Amino acid sequence: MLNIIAQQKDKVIAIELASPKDFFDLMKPRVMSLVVFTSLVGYVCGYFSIYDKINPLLSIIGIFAIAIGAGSSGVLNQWYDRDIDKLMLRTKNRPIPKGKILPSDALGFGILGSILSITIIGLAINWLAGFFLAFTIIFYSVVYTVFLKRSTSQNIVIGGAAGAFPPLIGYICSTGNLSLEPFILFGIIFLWTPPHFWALAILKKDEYFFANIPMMPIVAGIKSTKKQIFLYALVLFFFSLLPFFLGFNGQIYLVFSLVLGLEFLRRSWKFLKSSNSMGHNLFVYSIIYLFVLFLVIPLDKMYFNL
Amino acid sequence: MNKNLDPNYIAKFYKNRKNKNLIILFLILFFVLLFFLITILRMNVGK
Repeated sequence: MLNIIAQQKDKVIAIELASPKDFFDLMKPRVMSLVVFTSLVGYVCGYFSIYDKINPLLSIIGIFAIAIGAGSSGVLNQWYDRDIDKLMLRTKNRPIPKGKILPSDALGFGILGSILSITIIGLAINWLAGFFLAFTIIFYSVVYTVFLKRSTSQNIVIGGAAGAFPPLIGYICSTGNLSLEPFILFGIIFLWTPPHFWALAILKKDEYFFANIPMMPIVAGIKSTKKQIFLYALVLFFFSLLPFFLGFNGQIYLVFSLVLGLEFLRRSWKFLKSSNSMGHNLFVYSIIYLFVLFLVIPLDKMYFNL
Repeated sequence: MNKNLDPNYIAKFYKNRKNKNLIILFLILFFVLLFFLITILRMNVGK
């Protein structure tokens, strides 16, 4: 046994160093919490839209499955991206490039988690939710990670759809079905993703260039990316008003979406006209924007329905 | 190479493996209970 340990030095170091926390970190907990949050918003929207609701305990299990699915797709993403993760300052401390977890262990963990999450949501809610969760996992870990990320500057535009699916699945967790409303939530996240990521990409341009990832600022230039950020912010502003005009939300939501959206536009315009260092400011604001907007959606619904 | 043969290292290695096995056991039990709970809830008990 000692000889085996000595011979497989690298492997043993990885086995010894890997703690349960490393496996948890591999699931990108911050992304998982955002996914749980947006799927809960979808859940609440569905909860107030119909009378024949799914048992809330089953819905909680469904949301739990979404979190496991999101984490597992994050694991698969890090398994595939292990070669470029070690080149970037932002990602080089992740458990795989750091040598804490073996790539093969991460792959097994990601596949097992994905299968478990799809099975759980399929059995607890229905197979429509199972289909959408499976589609999201495959879209993120295969379509985005393998085919889009390293080949096109539109990577996060198309890949952003993966991050927009959770409210849709959350909606199915309460109603067992779909309607127009969760697709509006999908659209908001889908349109929010490019300005959010491009603000970060401008700041981390050199790192992406070094890792050979064709992010928009590298391919089209910073000026063009800033223009596109503003355009997406403009489309997002009008799109975010839809829940009010389609009757899904009330005046509280309207006020918040107007104020938050105008501020997003103002910051995007300022970024367009100023130095790149303002990118961090816009990146942080974009997180606050989505968080507050998605917090107001269920609160506004509760106010008018309770 | 010598580091790996250090008794402290070996002890740590076995302790770590034992902890991980316990966590895997806990996870298996958790998922067994979860599937049991899903079955009960899907039977619409009490309706």
